[in-house]
Amino acid sequence: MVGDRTHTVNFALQGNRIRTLFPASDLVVSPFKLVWRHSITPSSLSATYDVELVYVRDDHPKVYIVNSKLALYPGELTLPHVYDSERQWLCLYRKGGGEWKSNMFLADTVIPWISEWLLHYECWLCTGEWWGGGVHYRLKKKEETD
Amino acid sequence: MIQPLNDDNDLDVDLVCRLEGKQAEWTQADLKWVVGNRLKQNRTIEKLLVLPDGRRCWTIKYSESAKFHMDVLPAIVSSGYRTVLEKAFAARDIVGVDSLAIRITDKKEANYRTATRPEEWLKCNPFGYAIWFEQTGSLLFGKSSIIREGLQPVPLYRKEKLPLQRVVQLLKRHRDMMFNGEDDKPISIIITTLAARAYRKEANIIDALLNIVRQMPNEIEERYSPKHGRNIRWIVNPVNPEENFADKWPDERKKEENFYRWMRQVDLDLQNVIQQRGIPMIQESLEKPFGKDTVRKAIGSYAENLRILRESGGMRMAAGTGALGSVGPTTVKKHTFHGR
Repeated sequence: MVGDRTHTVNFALQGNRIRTLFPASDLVVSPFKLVWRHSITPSSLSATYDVELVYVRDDHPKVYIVNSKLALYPGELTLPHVYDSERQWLCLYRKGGGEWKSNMFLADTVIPWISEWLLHYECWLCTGEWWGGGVHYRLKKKEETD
Repeated sequence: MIQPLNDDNDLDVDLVCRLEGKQAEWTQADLKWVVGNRLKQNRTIEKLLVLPDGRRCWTIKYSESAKFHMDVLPAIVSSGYRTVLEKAFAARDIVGVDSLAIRITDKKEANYRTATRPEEWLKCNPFGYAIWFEQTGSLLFGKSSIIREGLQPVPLYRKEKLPLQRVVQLLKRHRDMMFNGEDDKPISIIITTLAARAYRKEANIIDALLNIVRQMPNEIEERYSPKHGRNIRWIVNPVNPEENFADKWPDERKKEENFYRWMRQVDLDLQNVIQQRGIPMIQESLEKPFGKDTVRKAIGSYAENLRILRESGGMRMAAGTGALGSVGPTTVKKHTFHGR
């Protein structure tokens, strides 16, 4: 359960809000499920990434980077801040902390966080450090596990 | 001030020791000696003084760990110089800039031990040049004087630099990376002067850099030299029309060749950088021309500033592309990137 069902934003309204900001994107909306696909360029210096957002009623939205394999910083085994590195399933906020609830628009919360994740991913790939803040956990390096 | 290229290099500060008069019989050598003695009267400085003295300066070298040295340039100025200087900076007018010229000592001058009249000593005009540079680089009329503050006894740390100052810094860094201690590398005064002449008041550093690099070689003149019996390259000193900063080029061809070779390389490197997509690709193309550690540090501080911008509520997202910056319809809300 995500938030109070009576305050859950209607899926059509969720879709409209996304379409307003990203008119050229690929969006499929039903009363219980929303799937959004779009190419995001997180800064004027950045590369472009294909993103898929899947949101099913009463669940948390899931965000994946699709169509390309994201490179890892030398020595790292996984991407930073992900649920699943293989599936490139991003971890954008703390569940249960109220940062995202079903009464919020995805276009104003989760979607900007995707851009932010991608931009910090590029900087992580350059420096080996995650500069975006968040709950700290140490990524295991190859030499430490070998 | 330019940050040293690597952590082994010193930070270098230049100090002009302005004297409004001297004993009538003093030669250049005497003045140099008098200033040296005055420095030695301070016990701390005496220990730090580099011996023998330099060609034009005394050098105070702070401890090895401080990585810092100061060049003290003894100079004779006209009486009331300070007032003239302040007026010139306030007016930011290079008309009458010659009144800011100073006379310095130089061991390589034939009259080093004989000439007592400062009019016969080497003339230079660092303060006049600074006014010219500031005027050329300024974006707005009536803005507070950044260079003037930089010329106060201790330069104030400034976060905001004029685009022209940034470009000159980048060009010098590229030069240092490319020539790494070579003798015949392009000299700073030539780079600074040509860059300032090529500058067209672009407010954006990238635009300024691209234009300046393309335009710089066109700012070199040709003039007939009776001594050489042919046209030679001429880079005029903006505050002394008689001085050619490239006066060594006709006799030392390597210097001229290196200058043009460097200009072509800067252009190539820049074209390469602006064609890249993605910060990691940009990093790769910047590492060779500007240095690996420097580029990595710059990306780290860029990324850290992004975090600070978002935490302060100032980060916004553009519609369509989803690009982040300080403009756009959507504010990036607070959140916590989480682990597994």
